[in-house]
Amino acid sequence: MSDDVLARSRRITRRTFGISALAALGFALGRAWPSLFPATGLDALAGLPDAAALTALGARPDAAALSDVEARLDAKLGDGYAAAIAADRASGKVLAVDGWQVPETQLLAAAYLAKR
Amino acid sequence: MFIDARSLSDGDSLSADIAIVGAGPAGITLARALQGTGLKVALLESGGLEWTEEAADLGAGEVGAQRYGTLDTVRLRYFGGTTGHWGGWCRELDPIDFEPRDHVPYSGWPINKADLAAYYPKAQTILQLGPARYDDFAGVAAEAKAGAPIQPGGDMETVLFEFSPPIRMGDVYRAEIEMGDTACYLNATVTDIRLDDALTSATALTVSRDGGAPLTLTARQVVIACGGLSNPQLLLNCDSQVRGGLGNARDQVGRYFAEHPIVDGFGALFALTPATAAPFAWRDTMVGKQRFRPVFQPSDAARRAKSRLSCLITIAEPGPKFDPAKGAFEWWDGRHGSQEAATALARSIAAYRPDAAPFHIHALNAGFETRPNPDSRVTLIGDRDRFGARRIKLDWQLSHDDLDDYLANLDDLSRQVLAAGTGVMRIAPDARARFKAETVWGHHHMGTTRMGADPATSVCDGDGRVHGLANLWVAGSSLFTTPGAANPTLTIVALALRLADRLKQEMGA
Repeated sequence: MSDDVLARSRRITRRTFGISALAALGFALGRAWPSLFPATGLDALAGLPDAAALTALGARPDAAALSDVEARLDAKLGDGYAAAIAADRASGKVLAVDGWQVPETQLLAAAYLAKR
Repeated sequence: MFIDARSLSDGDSLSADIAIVGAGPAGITLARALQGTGLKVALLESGGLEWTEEAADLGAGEVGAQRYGTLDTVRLRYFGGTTGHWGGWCRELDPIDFEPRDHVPYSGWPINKADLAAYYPKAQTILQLGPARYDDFAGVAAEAKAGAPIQPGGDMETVLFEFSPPIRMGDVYRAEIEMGDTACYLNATVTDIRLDDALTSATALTVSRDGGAPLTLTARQVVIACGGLSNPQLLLNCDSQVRGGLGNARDQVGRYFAEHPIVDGFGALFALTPATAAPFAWRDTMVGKQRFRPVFQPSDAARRAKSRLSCLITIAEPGPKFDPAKGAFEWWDGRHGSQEAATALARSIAAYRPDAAPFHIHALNAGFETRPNPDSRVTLIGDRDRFGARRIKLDWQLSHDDLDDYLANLDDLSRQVLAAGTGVMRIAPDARARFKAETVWGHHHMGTTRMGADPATSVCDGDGRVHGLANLWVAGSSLFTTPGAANPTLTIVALALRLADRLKQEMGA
């Protein structure tokens, strides 16, 4: 094998492993992204532990009838979902779904998830 | 002593310093309070020592459009009166209950709570209660190691009922009346009250009985203590000398009939831990021998600031159970709306619970205060009983305005429960539609001979004396100017004790 052939082979090997390493690093970063940079907006709602239950709740007629859901949620989620719920509890901001009086943020989130 | 009026001879002459018509909680309390004073007291009971169909029939009547119990069962006509089916719930009225309030038409008793301050403690003893602790939830809860689903200081607060055993006054005080100096006439139905020629004083009672001619009992003072339906019935029937009946010159007798509407399940609570609800519901809170039931009511400040009527809300025993492991309710109660909605909500709640313990929905039940309504009333009908007295029709009027106050109180409670993190509440969206069909009653007959300073809107003065009649008095919950939210028996007894002192004063005893 000539020197040219050997050098070319090494270049191909380095390039291949480099691309793989970059891909692996990218994949790892992608998986870790939510914890490295926690979402505080609407995108985070789908990851809530009760997202499925909220989606069912949001399909109820009185939740489905809510208007300006995204804008209202955006305004409330600045410090995250849990903080918004706590603020609603403390201030008595509630919305009713089939008569159940739940924190405003909870029902807005339910309506949002049901409409996605 | 007991005397069966049926055993007396026609023409027997009966007399008393004070005649008390009716041996229920008010009449027995009065008679006991007057024993040993030297006054000759006659206590006249339409029934006997036990319930009989013949006596009960005298209480039959008609009910108007609003559903109510049959009138021969909601009042008991025998010695002991309605304590014979009493549940024992006791609580004092609040100071605000006596006050005139702009948002409550015809409100304002001619007395205030301080006027009963000396009598409520004695009433506690008579009803076999402990020291009054109705507004000491914190102290009772600490002693009983009980929790509460709301924090103190909010618009809704936690207060207490205390339960009487409950005593049946006909049993508990029978021996005392039998051995005492009261002449208790049984099977003695008063059908007329005779007045003097000036029509300003009562002079005698016509006492009807089976098996003999009516008797006449002369008396210097007459007290009507037959209950909130029978008091107006008697006054209205006494029309042999005064058209329209006694005390009825302004057409006020029988008006303002008030009850405590009892509504079950218009509210509901997801109690997140058993401790949230247990002391309130199926387990009473015991402190020594005193048995308490915590309830929610609007605070004095909230009632004033929000122009709100009162209510007393209880938490019912555990209802539908949600099992997080199965993600479903084991059964369902249609009063709480859609099972699907509740299931979704329950799953949402369960997702944040560190344990997987099941939790329950509890119905919230309540009796609430109503605004006095002159069109809610007792009137005479053409049908007569076997002694010739006209029977009554009860036309109970319910108001959605009063319901709205209750729903607003529920709303306040809901926010406080949510803030405390102890549960989630439901307020039935169809409560207004269900109200008149589903409401039941507390057997609390109030307001029909109400006290007041103005004879144009009342029947009795602040002492219970019928306007315009010097020696005719009324005892019992028919005197209540406004009903408050508390069950009436404790206040009935306190008012009767106060009247006893007034009569002693009147008689110089």
